[in-house]
Amino acid sequence: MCVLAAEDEFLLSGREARWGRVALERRIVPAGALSSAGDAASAVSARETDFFTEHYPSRNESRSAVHKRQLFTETLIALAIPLIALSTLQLLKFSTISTVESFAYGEWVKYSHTAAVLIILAAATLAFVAFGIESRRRRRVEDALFRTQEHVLLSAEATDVGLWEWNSATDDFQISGHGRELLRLPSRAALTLNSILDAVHPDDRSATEQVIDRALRSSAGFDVEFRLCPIGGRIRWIRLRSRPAHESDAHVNYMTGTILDVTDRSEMKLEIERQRESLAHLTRVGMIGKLSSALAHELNQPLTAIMSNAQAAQRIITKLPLDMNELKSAISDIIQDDARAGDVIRHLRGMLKNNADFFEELDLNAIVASALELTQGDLVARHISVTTCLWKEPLLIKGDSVQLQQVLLNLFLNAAEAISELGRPAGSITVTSTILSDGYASVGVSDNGPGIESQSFATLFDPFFSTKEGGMGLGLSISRNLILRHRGQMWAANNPERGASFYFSVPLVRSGAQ
Amino acid sequence: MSAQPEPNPCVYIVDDDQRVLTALSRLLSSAGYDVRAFNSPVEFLRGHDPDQPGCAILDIGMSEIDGLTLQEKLLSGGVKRPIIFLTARNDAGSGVRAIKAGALDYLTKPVQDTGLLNAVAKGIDTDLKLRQQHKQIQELLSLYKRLTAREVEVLRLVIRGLLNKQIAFELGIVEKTVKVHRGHIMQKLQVHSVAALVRLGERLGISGAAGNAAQPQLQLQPKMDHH
Repeated sequence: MCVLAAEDEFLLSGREARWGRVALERRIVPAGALSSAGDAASAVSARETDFFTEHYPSRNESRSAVHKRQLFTETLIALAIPLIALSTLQLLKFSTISTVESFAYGEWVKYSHTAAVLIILAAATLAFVAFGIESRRRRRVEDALFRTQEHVLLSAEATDVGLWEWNSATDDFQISGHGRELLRLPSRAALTLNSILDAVHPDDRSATEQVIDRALRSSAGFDVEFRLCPIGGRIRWIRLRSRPAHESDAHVNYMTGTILDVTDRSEMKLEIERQRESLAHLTRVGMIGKLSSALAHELNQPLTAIMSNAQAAQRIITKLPLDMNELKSAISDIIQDDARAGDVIRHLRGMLKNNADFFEELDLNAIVASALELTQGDLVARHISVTTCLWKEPLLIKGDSVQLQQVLLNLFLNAAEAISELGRPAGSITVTSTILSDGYASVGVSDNGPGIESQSFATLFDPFFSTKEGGMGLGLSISRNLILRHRGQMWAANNPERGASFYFSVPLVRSGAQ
Repeated sequence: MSAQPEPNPCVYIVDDDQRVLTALSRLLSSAGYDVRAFNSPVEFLRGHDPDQPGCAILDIGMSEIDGLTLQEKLLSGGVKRPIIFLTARNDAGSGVRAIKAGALDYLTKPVQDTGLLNAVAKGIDTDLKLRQQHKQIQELLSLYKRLTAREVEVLRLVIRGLLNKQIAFELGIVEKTVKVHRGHIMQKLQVHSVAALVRLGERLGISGAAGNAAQPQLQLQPKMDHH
């Protein structure tokens, strides 16, 4: 209610009108929305824009009321001044007339003299009354303004919001007391923009500066979150917002805005992010578990080749004459197969690690190939043939290879499971990659399984939605999440003939163009 | 082993992993075997010569046709080549299936040379023995075919252990005629004692049980386990 009351004080056109407005506001906004202390912070951020949009019109309205009264007193003064001037002139004129002349004019002079004096007196009274009214009005306006300020500050403080104003010409940074507390600034010290930026955590400082700088140059508003320099244990997160400045002078640029402590929210956001990451990691580990026998195959193949080559070499060297060429190729094969086994292990280790996002420039085709390599063994064991139709050139994108592989692995396994569900011997998966017209690279995984039931489409990517027996229903939900993090899209469709296709797209890195 | 002018035994290897195929071929060549390597089961079926003695090493997990299906295909084509299976995944189910279908051995990758070479040696040995037995049977069969219908009847009853008198009674002929038949049988089948005759009958799978079939229940291929 504080916010509303503050606004209402701008209405100076009588008590009735004021309460009328309050009543109106009460109808618009349920009083409970703001009265509860717990909701105060959220209500303020929700109401902040309303506050400004309603704040200004109401002030304009009050201004027009003030202007009406001002016009009235100014008219009075405007009338009084020429009257006084005329009467004074008249008096002066008569005072210079000679006695003879004055005698000649006789009684008329005497009356007009008195009249002039009366007019002067009347006009002076008029002016006095006008000044009186004006000063009373001014006092009331000042009073109201003071109370308004008090209310604004009070309400800002009650909702944990600090207020600030910055003059870019003088670099004078005004900040409410609560704002100072939020930023951990010493009270009473004169502030500049730099002294505010000094409070920002070194890691966030340049980003924050950039945002403010951009806002200044485009004279737009900004909304930036940053950490404060750690004082004590907990790192505090601050959200600094500003409306576009209204320029009172072409050269002076004012910026006003709010300061909010968003530590709890930011920490929660980080926690959610951490949870999401570990969930993605867990499902990845689960998938690798599913593939473990196929991966054992993947490792056993090079090991078999190494063992046989080494033992062949052992036999070759016991026989004379020594077959040097055969020996050489056996040894070079051993080296190659060792590298191949190492690749499998490295690959696996990468998938099993719980890394934070690591975005780098990648070839989407290469990611598809390596994910296929991991699943190949499993698909062969399930008698599923894979057809690949990849874009002929590398598809350069910016992404996290582990996450993208996880998405592909998930799609391959889903396709394989869908086919197995059907129990058909001739299962096949087609993997395609292509470039979409809008600068996106896309990958599609099609199977010839049973397809997607029409009622499942809406909830396909929802967490805990699964058509598989014992399925957690997290794979697709996590996959889509990962793709969204790549600023991409994920969607599914049924094939015209049989089975389903899943696609995702990721923005291409423009080679040379950008 | 055998002194016959037959082609030398060879080892067929089928694995769709080219690198493993090369390594296994190299190992077996270094051990002195004649190796025929195939990168795909389809190619193997095309290039396989049933008359070529030797054994086969098949990978179980192949993409086109897996090893077990390949074994079935060989068997259904009447080829009883000893098969050694290799697998990169330890899957007891397929091992049992393979052995039940008559595989000689089932080895897990990575395979030790001693294990593999022993299995190969055993495989080739088995194959040669099989082929020899097969040949003997064929020879016996050609001898057997020279018997007349009456002689076959007499042979069955001899194997059943009946005396000449009983045989004569059974067939409604005189004992002397039985003796003449027996003499012809011994002569045609090139045996000199009743015991040898009975053994021969066993090998040919002629049951002594009464049956009206003129032809004996012939086992074209003898059992693999031999005494």
